[in-house]
Amino acid sequence: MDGHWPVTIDAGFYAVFHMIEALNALECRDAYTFADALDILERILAPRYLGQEFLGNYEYLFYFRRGALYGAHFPSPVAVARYAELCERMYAHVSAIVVEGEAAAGR
Amino acid sequence: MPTVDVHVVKAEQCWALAQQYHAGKREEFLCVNLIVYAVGHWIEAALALQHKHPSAPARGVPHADREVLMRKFLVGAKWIEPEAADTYAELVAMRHTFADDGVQDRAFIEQYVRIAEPLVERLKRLIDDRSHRIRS
Repeated sequence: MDGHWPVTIDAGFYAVFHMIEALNALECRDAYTFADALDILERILAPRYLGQEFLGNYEYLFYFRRGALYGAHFPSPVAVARYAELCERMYAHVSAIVVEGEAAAGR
Repeated sequence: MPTVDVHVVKAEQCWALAQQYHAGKREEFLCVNLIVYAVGHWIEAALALQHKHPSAPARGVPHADREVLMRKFLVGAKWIEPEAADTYAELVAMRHTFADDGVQDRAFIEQYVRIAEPLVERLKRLIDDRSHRIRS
């Protein structure tokens, strides 16, 4: 997928981001901005459900994406592969918690 | 901060991918994002020609500041028409719908591309013209 790294980076981040939003929605929350999303992640989701490691990894994704898509950097194929693998792990982690939450909420 | 050339390379890459996704009727959401990135990089390339660059709010990305600088320095210097800045603001505002109000459908992306294409052509002409003047 040479030349498609912007898609990989964008899709990977938003897959994780929207799954986090799904977890928020189970408790009637929305993030209006990225800053808001990070506040909610730090204050509620990481301590209660997702863990501190997840929070650190989310920040890694956010700043990697910003630097690659908006900034001066062209990520190497190895860095993109590592990023994509991290997205997959994080997506699976949040997804499992969302499924548990849906079951607990009777949805 | 990215140089003019880096902005142009990224803009062209994102626009080529957006056109590919649009033509293939693939992933409308990613196509919208790619258009926003392409337009944003062309705007920033023009700003970089004036040695200016938008900042991002804490924990955020630079969309709002980019529009402010576009109006102040590109429109203000008569490098581009105010309608171009209005179109950019419209594209950014329309893109917000994916976050707050569901997923874009085919009609949405067709309308989005129709709005974006003239702006893309205008920004490309601007960069070509101003780069040539500055470098010659």
